[in-house]
Amino acid sequence: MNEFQILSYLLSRRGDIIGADENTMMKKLGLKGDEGLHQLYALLDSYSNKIEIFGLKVERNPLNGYWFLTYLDELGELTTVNPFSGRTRIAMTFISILIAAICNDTTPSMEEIKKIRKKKDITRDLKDLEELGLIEIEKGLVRLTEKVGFYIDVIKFLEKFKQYLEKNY
Amino acid sequence: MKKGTSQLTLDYFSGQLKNIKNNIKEGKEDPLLPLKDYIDAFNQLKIKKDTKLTDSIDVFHSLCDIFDYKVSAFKSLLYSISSDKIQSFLDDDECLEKIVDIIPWVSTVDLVRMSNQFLSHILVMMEKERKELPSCVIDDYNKQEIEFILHIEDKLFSEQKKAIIKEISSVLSEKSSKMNINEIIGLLDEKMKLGKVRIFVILLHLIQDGNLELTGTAEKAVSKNNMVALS
Repeated sequence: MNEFQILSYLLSRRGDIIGADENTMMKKLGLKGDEGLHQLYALLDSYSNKIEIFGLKVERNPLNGYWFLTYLDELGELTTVNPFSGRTRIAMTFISILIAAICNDTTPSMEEIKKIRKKKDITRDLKDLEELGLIEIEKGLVRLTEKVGFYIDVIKFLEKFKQYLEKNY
Repeated sequence: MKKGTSQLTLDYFSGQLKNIKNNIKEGKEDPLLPLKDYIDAFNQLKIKKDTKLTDSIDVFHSLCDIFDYKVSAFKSLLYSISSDKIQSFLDDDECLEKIVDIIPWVSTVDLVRMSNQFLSHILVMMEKERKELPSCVIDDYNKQEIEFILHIEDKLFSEQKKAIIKEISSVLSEKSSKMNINEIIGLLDEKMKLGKVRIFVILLHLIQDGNLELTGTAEKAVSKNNMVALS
């Protein structure tokens, strides 16, 4: 197994852990110390350049610092689908939570999210999102986790959402 | 003191960050965009002991300033969303359906969904060196500065030629009208201190100009019997 194969495996991990952080990659590649970190960046740089021809790129989740594989922007725009494997129901509840978080100064409650979602029951959706590790529910309050960065570009969403509101309301 | 590679890289990194900081400050760069050059610069930066502590602090200071700008920009973006407009949006029954198209989803790559054949191909291709295609550069000769070198006469050489003619004339008049070429080179070198090779070259010029005449044949020249005479 060569270094690129190891990186491919680590960066495409899905489930509880998405992608990998620097420490995990260094450990699996047998790299140590500052010099090892530089070697890792050099490898990631080379890997990222080489997978470009397949429409893929290496991205870093700014919320938890994990590196992962995603599609190039032009390819993403061509096939914009939600990363919940087409499950629009969960995607919509997820967006409701995000909007609730933007609107509230404090952590939004399940009731507030339900109002935005305009559905009688969102328990199942919240459970699914919790299983995906995207939210944590405590005492009826819903908190987004760092994993959100793997599913949505939060900054871009805020900018687009603001523009949309200014244009339409 | 000569700067080491690490110090030079640190200087470069520091300069880049200061540029980013100034660009953000002047509104030329969006503080919410990721630092694109950061990894490249960091990649080249070898943390060794030959970097100055003060410069490292400088880099850290620039990074803190950039971070501060980013946090401020994020806060201002968040607070710039009008609460009245949000309320109008929430009152809309189909609000969520309407914003579906503007959601910037990120799709993580699922290798499990890819065929073994495709994955094998990816790995084989990745190991190959990518060769850059030669680029076509069209020169604009109207803008190109062309350097002309004008070879002017070497005055010193002409003066030396004249001095050698004068010297040969006096030598030949003292001894005889004909002398062996080796003898004359040795004699001129002794008197003029120009070096035998230069004297030989000057003699060749004099022969070419017709000031000196070389008598004898090529075979004789090998046997060192050639004689020169002032014409």
